[in-house]
Amino acid sequence: MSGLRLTEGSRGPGASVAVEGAPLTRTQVPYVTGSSVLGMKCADGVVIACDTMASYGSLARFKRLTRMHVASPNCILGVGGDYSDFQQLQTMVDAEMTAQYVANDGLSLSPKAIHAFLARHMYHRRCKVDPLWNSVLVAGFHKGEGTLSLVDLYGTAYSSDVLATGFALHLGLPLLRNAHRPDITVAEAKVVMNDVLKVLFYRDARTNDVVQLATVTAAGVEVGDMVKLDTEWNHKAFVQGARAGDESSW
Amino acid sequence: MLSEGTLGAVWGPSLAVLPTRVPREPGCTASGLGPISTSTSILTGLCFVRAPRARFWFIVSCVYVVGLTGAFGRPPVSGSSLLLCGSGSCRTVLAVAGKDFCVVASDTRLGLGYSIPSRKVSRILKMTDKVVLASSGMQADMMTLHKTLRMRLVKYQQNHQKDMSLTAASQMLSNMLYTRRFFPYYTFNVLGGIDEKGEGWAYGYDAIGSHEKVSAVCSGTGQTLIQPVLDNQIEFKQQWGAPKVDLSLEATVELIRDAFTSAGERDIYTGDYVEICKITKDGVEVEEFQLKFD
Amino acid sequence: MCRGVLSCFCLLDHSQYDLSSTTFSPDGRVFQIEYAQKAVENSGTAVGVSCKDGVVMAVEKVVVSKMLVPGTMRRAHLVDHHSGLVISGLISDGRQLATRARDECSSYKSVYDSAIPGHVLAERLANFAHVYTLYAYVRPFGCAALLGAHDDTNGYQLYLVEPSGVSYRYFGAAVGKGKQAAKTALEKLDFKSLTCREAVKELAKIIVDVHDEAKDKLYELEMCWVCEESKNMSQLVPQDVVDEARKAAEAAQDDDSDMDDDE
Repeated sequence: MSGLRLTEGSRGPGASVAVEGAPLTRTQVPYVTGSSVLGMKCADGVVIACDTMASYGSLARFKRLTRMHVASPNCILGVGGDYSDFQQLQTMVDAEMTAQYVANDGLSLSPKAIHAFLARHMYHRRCKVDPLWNSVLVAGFHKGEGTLSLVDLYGTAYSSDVLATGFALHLGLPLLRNAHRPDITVAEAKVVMNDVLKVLFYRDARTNDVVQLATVTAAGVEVGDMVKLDTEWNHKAFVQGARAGDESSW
Repeated sequence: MLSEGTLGAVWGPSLAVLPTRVPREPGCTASGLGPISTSTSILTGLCFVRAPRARFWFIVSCVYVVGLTGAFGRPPVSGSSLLLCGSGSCRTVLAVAGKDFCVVASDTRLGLGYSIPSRKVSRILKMTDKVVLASSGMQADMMTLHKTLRMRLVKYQQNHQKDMSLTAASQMLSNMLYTRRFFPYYTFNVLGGIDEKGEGWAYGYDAIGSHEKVSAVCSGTGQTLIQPVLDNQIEFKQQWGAPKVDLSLEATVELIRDAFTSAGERDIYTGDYVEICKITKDGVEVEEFQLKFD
Repeated sequence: MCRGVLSCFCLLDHSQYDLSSTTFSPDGRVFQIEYAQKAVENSGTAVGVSCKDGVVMAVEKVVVSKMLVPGTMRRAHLVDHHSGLVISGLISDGRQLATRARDECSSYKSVYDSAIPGHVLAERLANFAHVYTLYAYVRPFGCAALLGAHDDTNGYQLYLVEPSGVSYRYFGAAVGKGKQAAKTALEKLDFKSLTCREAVKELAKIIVDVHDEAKDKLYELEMCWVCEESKNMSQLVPQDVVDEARKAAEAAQDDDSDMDDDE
């Protein structure tokens, strides 16, 4: 491998790193990142939720950014991971949608097709070892049924009744699983989402307390406003510790 | 045969595809890598591995994750992985052949570190009415492989006006895996079905297409738990002098259920549900049973 | 040299200068471009107006067989959310132009994250067409495009992109077989007060009137607009609206001819 010459210059650890003799590498670290995204499939639609912060390492860099993107009238994406890669994804999805529009053949991409499209693209990029550093929740409503699926930076793609990415994979998913019933309604799920987002805000240091919910139902996509969470810091366990005799809070 | 289990462990002399970055003293540039980032990264290497049975050298490119956090937004952790590794690895798959049938089974857990992002991700591909494939390993690679295989099967059917035979399918799978010899599909496949003579057979593969025709094979994280049992119960290994009897379809399915139940107890990556495909001359019948969700 | 063939051509006027668009004639013309324009003039008429609340384009699509499924091989194309075009001339050359327009739209969008302004798109399309008038190994486009677009700065715009590589902005424009008669009819319209709904009827009337019943019996009427009604999105004018306008125009024409008979 020695003697391999590279053309791209060095722009820090996240960009292309050119070191003589070493092969070219690309994104190895995400920079500005969004944290978790939550999703739940309900009887009458799908709900996804996330906070609105984008961090730069440990710095709370942007505090009012939407991490959702309306892909089509019946499909919305909720995205965690690198924010610039998310914007790249938006551009790409929009271009695809424009191509659909101008074809004017009466066809449109179903949420499932959008999910497959993203999965193929993400997989392609990881095979180039130049991944889009995101995990994407795809929520849609098609032919009377909600769909909820996920794609990550490797191109892993699957569907489930409840999904969570990032930190919420550890802290949120169990809560969502407990709350989920096949007959849960969108209205009920929104309440659950708010609770889970609150738990995440208490414990995930890359999360803020301004959140956004979106629903997809037979009526189409509805993206909610950014809402400030009602937080409560005087829980006994927060103040006194989990067990009697604990010196520090839990 | 190489398997997902063994791959991680065999670190051979490393011909780095991508550099293994380890923290270096400033000024240590002997390797040409220089003092870059102290965050280390992939352990991707081309390892020379001596396959136990086969009489030649396999070169296996293996990719390994260390400490994938699964959460974004953390500062790069020393030792966190780069990219090639499988997220959401799919775990235990097996195929057991009988005289005139074959059973292919797989659990449906999608594991990522200590998390279970999804409990129901199928990794079984019904290739024809007589051939079924199950793949463990990286889910994204598995999906791509299955998609490509499906396309090839349709093309074969249209060109030849018949379904692909078990032997043809097994060879095609090997070829397809080998096309990605130097950037492998991180999948560990087992293929089962009925051949043109009506006999059941199973095939086991490594990630790059090396394969073996056997009567029972298991791949994935449950391999170490299940394979010895299959050896003993199907091939009558270690049962010196015991007469070798062919198991019935029902007995085979029972054995597989027990195997998965047991593996589910000890292997954290195996669980949730098991899909069992019974392949007989009448086609493929799928049944599902639940394992523990823990 | 193949004298036989050449001398044959030499009998004609300007024959030495018309084989390639790389050679001017002594009086400063490029015949290949003029022939390309001829191809447009042989084709079904396309007319467009830029009026009060939008821009509307219509094209007469002569069809070759009764058995054709309506709507195949369109002459009206959408190229982006805010722009569309209709083609007069060779249908396949036109498709090439539409595809290029789409590429230009998406490339502009990807660079500037905003929709391409009409004049930029028109100019880029004209440049594209122009390149095909410069080299011996290509032929000019045998089509002209009426391009309708909307942007916030310039409002509704209508451009005509010609095979020569020019593009002008118009209030009303016509190309194709019946362009003279169509232009005369267009000049009578008041573009400032005309609404798109009215324009659809006017354009239908123009197409119906200039259509040569004796030569091409069958034709489809395709229309495309970008207007307030369509929320400034490019759209094929809804089929029922087109049909109604065409029916009304044909009825009016019948009345006229009846009157003519009476006189």
